[in-house]
Amino acid sequence: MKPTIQLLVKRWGRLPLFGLMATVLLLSVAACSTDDPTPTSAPAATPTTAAQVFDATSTSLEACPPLKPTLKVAGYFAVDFSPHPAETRFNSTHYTRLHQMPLFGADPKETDVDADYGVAESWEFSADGSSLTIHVRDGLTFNNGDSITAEDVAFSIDLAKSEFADSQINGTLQGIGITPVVLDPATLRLDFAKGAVTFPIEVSPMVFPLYVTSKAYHSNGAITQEAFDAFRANPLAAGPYQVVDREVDQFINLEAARRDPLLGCPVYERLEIRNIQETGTRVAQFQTGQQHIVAASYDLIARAEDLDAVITTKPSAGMIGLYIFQTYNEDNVFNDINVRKAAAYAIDKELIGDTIFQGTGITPWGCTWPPNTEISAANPRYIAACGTPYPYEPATAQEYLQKAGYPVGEGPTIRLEYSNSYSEEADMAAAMQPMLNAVGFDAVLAQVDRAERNRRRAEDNGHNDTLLFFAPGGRLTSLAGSYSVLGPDRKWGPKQDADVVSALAAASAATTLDEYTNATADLGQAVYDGAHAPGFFSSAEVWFASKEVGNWGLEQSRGRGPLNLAALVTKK
Amino acid sequence: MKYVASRIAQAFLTLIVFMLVIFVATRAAGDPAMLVLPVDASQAQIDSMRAQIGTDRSYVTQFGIFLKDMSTFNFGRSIIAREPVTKLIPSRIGNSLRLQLASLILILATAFPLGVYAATRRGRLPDRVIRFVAAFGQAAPGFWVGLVLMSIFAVRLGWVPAGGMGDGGLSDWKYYVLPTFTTSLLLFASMTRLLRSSMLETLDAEFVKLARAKGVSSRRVVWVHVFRNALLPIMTFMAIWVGTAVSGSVVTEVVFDWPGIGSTFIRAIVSRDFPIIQAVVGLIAATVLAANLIVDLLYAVVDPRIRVGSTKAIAARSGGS
Amino acid sequence: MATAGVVRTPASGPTSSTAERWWRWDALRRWPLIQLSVIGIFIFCALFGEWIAPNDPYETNLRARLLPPFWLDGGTTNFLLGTDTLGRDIFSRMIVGARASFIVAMAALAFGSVLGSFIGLTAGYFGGRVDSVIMRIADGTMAFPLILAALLLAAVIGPGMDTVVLGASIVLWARFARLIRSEVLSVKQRDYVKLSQVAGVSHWRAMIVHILPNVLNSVVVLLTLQLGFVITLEATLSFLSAGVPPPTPTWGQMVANGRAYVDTGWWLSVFPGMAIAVVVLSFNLLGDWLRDHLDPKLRQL
Repeated sequence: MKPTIQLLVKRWGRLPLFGLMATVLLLSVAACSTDDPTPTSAPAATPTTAAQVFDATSTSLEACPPLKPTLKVAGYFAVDFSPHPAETRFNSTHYTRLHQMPLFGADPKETDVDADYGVAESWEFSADGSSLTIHVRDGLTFNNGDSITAEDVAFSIDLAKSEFADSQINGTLQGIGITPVVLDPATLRLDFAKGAVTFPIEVSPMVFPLYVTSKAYHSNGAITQEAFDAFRANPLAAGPYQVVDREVDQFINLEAARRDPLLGCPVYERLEIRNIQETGTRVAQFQTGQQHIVAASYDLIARAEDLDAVITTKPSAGMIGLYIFQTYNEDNVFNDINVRKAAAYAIDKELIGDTIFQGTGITPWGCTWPPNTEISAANPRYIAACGTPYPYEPATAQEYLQKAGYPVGEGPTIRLEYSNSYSEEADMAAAMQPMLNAVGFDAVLAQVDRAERNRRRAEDNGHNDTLLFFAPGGRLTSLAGSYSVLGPDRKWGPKQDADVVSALAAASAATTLDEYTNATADLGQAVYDGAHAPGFFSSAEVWFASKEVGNWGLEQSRGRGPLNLAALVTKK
Repeated sequence: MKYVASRIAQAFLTLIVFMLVIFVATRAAGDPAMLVLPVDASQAQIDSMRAQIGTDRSYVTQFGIFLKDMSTFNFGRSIIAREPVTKLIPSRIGNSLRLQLASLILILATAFPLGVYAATRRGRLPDRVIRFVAAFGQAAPGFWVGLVLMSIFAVRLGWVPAGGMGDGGLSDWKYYVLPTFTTSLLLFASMTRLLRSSMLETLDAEFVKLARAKGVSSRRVVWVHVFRNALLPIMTFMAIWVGTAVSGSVVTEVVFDWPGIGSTFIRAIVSRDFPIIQAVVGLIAATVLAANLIVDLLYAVVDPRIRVGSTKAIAARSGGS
Repeated sequence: MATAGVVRTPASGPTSSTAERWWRWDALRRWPLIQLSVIGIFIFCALFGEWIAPNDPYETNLRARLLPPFWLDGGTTNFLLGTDTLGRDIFSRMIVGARASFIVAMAALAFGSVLGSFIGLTAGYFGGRVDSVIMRIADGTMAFPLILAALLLAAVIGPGMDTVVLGASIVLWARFARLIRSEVLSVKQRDYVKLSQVAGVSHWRAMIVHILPNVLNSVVVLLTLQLGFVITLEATLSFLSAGVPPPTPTWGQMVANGRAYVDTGWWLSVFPGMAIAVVVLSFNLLGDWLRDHLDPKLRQL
């Protein structure tokens, strides 16, 4: 072996060795570059000639007008693009809706819960609010032709409750102690251990939809990791589109599948939704025509004309206000209401709104929880309690600090914490710091990552002396969450405030929607008066669409999902 | 033979130690359960997630399981994606390799002739210009260059697409242009300098002077004698390059939306997805060690001075790159 | 060819009497003046930045955000190179930002070079097993992609100046170690070292007193060459949000912040980016020059 190499080397020099290395490299590239696309999902439903009870028209695509070519969307989505409906999060609503059917539907523009668009045709609560009877719509099918029954609905709830489902939904469902009971193929009853009058709204596309999956297709009703894997590899659709390709964190591609009884015809042949982290790259791809719809930023609004873009905004995607946690700790400077109020009055929110947010899509709001999906927003008492933000009055802020016992200009040291989940966060923190310092605080910027922030949240005093100020926030009325967001057993609510605690208890025990919204109005008032979470405004998410796509009514959307594509890509 | 065996054993041992370090590091970084779960998760949920991920057991147990899994190439499931890591990573590595290979070809095609040319014209204008350009390439921050190039050539001029990979095949060559150029810039600089300096050193060497004195033509001297010897440190450089190739270029991939292993890694870091972090780091470490091992063995075969262990040879070898 | 009868003084060169005549123009011309001036300005800004900056680099002025440089429409001479998204003066931030880059570079190099030199000395002096183990570790560390190591470190201990310094040191030490070790190996063979060993001088003393002074030249050259590398590393880490966190202005951070504005607010990234490029370039070219003049044997660097 050795002598041969030496001979080789003597004759030809080291070049062959170099060439050998290069060849090895090339071979390994060839070997490594496998990109098998994930197998396509089940074929589209064959047209049925038998009359459907709900809609006499067939599900064949032939019944639809000619489809437009591909629609390309790019944003910064922190999702894994799973085609399994129990593995979705809020911001996958915009595409999961297109290939799965929600139990409680919302209209395509997601302005409200609409019984016409869900598997549930009607529902009623029992008198004490402890159970909900659901009537399943007749004649609905999955894309493979199987009928959707109450069994499937019950199974889907069990799926969403399981440990394999997304943690937000399974935590919520487990938190309210839900048990499905099938009464007959078209009816089922849900029993709740804890109050859940807001259930139909909570699990609709307005907030966090529950989708109906086929029990038979999901490995015959198995709820195991293998069954989840199998479904993910070969998903069954129940909608106008179906998933044909996806890659975790990168993209999901859907293709037109059938004429859907609920949503109607697909409009595009193919939808490609990409995750692109870098704003500059996204916008550049928009300019080169590689994308039709992109998530943009506020500073780009001024350039929309140049870019031939139509600006569409998604309202209330972000809440700006001061979140003050763990105020029950006595060594937390924010334990004193005067200090909290001082901070609230110190911020010039108009200036921030005008400059950093370009005055676009801003709605003043006094409590830091999103008003749009806020069920209680229908109750005028709630609007009265939470509608008006604390004004900008630096003199008042200084007074409050003095009331708290601090000498003029020598207020406490506080942390302004942010985690860069949104690009505006860093700018806002840097803008708020001098405002707080001007009234006497000693504000320090603290950039942490999400893991660190969650860790601090879990500790007893991880958020002492800390202001957070930008997030969608814990929802005031999330089902199991009413107690958990500001709850006594959590380490970060104002559990020392008796008014807050009693309002929360009343909300959790409500048996009707009225009782509930009145209780949350009380809660909002208590939060506002106590300056526990003084809000400033809700902000919008800015999206650019190409002129040919235009605006599909995104501003009307009250849902949590960012895009509400159903209004754009389906037509009844 | 003994040398070979001992080197392989050493490499293996280093890998294990390395994996231990990574194991400790990723665990010390914080609890991934806290990151995955929503902020209002109950304690029961946290416990259940920890059980799922496997962080509820003692570190020693975890490391035992970890080693056992590694030896069976079971890298576990991504915490975020819930899919097995072995399903997620291979295509990404392939994508990164494609970009790195394209970049390597570009570098070799430009650095070799330029480096050699600079060495032969040492001290004069061409040498200075080439060194200047190389140094500038090394100095400008890669992401800045990438964004500027995208803004000019993709957006303003529309000659190439602004990021993405297309299907990655040969017909999508336009997608390769800007990312390749950006990635190459840094390595081009070091390669040129390396080539130039190693050629300069050999140009001074005794045997070259002897060849010249014997009347061998200048060109022949350069290409036949000097170049071949200058290749030795290049091989070392290649071993280092392999590590870079496998890890992709995080910066280029983020800027140009290239679906490679570099961008995957950074997302895994941000979300503390330590199965992916471990797999990627382990893979790179293994590749780097293997590449070093191969180069070492090749040296031993090719250059008898190494085997004998002469000081000068060792100095020459380790002084390189 | 010597002309008969004429004795010529040897041409002045680096090895001749330049030392005595360094201030003369013809000798001065040989020095890398441009690089030295750039570096001088850099160090001056790093040390005295706050006094020479025309505006307060931390002062936010939301109504004056994203103003272009003064020679463009909308710019003012108050803000020579424009303002960023918070209305802060880019020029002042650049001047003060030199300090962070400087400190990070100096700290990382100090740490890395001292550690690396010490380890390299040990490896070279003792040789054998110790040497081979240390060199394996050094090779492994050097070959592992630096960005990944720095990112991992930032994930473990959180981003910050200390993380960047530590991350840079982790790779730098290996380069110094290898260099010193090879130098030591050759010096070790020389007579005076052997003599001192025979005379019973302790290992440490031999290393520090006899060997170290001879390797210092190489260390200086390597230091200069690595400085630019560390500055670029800091910039890249800031881009990936793992660098020095705000409000401390650093050039890397400024370039990273401006990346969404490559079209509209190009001045946010371009000027700090140019500053990085120019300073790093100067250090690299200076390092080249130093190497050529101090120790031509080091061309492998």
